[in-house]
Amino acid sequence: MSRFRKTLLRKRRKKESLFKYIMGVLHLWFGLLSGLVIVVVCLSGCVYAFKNQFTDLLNKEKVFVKATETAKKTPAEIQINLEKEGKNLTGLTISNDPKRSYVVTYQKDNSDVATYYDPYTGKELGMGDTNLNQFFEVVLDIHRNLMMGEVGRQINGVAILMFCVLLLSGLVLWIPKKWKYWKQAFTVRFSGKFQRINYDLHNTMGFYAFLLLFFMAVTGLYVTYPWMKNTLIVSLGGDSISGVSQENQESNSAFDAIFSDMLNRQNEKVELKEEPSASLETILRNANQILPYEAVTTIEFPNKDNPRFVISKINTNNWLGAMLPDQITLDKTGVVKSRDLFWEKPLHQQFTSLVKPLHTGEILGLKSIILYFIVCFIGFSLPITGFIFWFNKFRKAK
Amino acid sequence: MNIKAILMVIMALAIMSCSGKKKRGIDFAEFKKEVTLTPEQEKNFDEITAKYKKQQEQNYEAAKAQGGQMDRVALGIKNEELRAQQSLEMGNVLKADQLVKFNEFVEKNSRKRPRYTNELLEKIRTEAQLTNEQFTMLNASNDAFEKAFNDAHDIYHGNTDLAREYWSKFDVQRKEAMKTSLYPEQYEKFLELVKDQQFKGRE
Repeated sequence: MSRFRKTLLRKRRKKESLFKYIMGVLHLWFGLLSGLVIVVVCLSGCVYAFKNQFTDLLNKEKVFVKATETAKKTPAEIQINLEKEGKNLTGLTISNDPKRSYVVTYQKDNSDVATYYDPYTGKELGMGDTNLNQFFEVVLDIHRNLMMGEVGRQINGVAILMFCVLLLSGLVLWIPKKWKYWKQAFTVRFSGKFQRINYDLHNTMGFYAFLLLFFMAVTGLYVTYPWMKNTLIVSLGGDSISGVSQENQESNSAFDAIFSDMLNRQNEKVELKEEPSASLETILRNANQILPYEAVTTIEFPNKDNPRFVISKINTNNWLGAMLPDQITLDKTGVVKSRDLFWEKPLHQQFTSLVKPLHTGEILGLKSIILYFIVCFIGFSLPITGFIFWFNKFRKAK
Repeated sequence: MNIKAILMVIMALAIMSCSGKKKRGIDFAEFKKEVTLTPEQEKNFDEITAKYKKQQEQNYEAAKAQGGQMDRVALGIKNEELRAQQSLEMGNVLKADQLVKFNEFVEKNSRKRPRYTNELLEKIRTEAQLTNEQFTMLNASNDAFEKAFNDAHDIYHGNTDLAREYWSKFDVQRKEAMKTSLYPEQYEKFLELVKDQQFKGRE
């Protein structure tokens, strides 16, 4: 019993500031309390980060195509080819990567079909195997709720809150006492004994991963806790989301703008009923005047409820290569009717539209996913190396 | 052993080791506990539900394929159409009373578009005696409600209570929009017809 007391509530060292002492004790307690959950959350996060890559690998014959000298079929050609087979194109996703297939959705005999499409040969490749989805849903459930529903979510949330404190207290504890220890604080000495290597892995790797782990934790808490959402949104200049249902000027005018746009759409259904539909080339040419960059482009065709073409592009033309979504709508005749561009949104809306890819690392594509994986793996290792460090002290305590 | 086989083994092991509720799609095993099907009916039932489940998954994958931005409203429309087709096809397999129960089960358990249904819109048009212009306003306010609610998804995502708050807020705005377009007695009738419309989180 005394060993527990000695290791869990150690005496303050000589010359140790009260602040650093409290940080040290908090770091230990919170680490022991939340360690298991952090291990599970980080490990499941590591696996889930590669969901799209695993799925692409499983369907590689359909997702990837052989780039040839032949020019790619234009969207209009694809539409005409499908029409010849009695297929009514309803949606098209055009990749800007020459080695990737397109995705088309169409209706035939009142039935919806979604399929990968080789833009060089014009051949339908069939839809991907979705069996991995079930696996990743389980991984996601572990990551979010520890597979225990709302109870798990709350346990998870508390553990991640503790993890934030652990990261901050860990940073305080990492700061070397003397100048001569600074180099040591930045390096892992693999030539030392096991306990030394373990300590270095915890201390040094924890420092390197600190900032991104903290960011991941905060964006994760954003999903769990409305107060965290509120804090972030308000700090980025948005209106508070607490008491959403109460009147506020910003959301009232936002709804009014949407209502006005929807009213226009209703009128278009009547006024443009007899007008011939613009060609797909015209639609894309007009869209590209607003969105003049090469990107993954998604075209949704008018449907029973929406009389407009919806064009979405993922803009990566920025210094980081971040994937920023832009969307515009065009009426049947090809006139641009609405624009929802990332750079025109206020900061808090930019943040809320990107919070998921910011949390998962998808924001910069594969390079950031790999970086997040490494950092998340360090996050997974920290409770383990921390526990070993404490357990060694516990073992030696008399 | 190729990559596909390895991935399938990993997937099978992981699923076997976990026993959580699946989150996407309807669990029709529950329906089969409630309604007794003959072996022949059950075989056809399983085939039809599997076919539409696959189509729904493929629509979802297509909507976010190649890193593209998902259009939630368009996806909702496609899934609504799939459910209608599924019900039609199920009519060839189930008896009339079974089909009623099946439709109720799907209605209760599926993720639907957050809006007044077309049937309700028509009912409002008839019973509140809306002019064409007023009906246009009703459709526009209903579509605005759906879009506003979907647009707020990034904020309420993962939090049912917050989603309910947004639903209520936009519902008030939808009704306010109608208040300006209808005569008082029409508006009273409209409120009476939509009084049961409430936020439905996923059960």
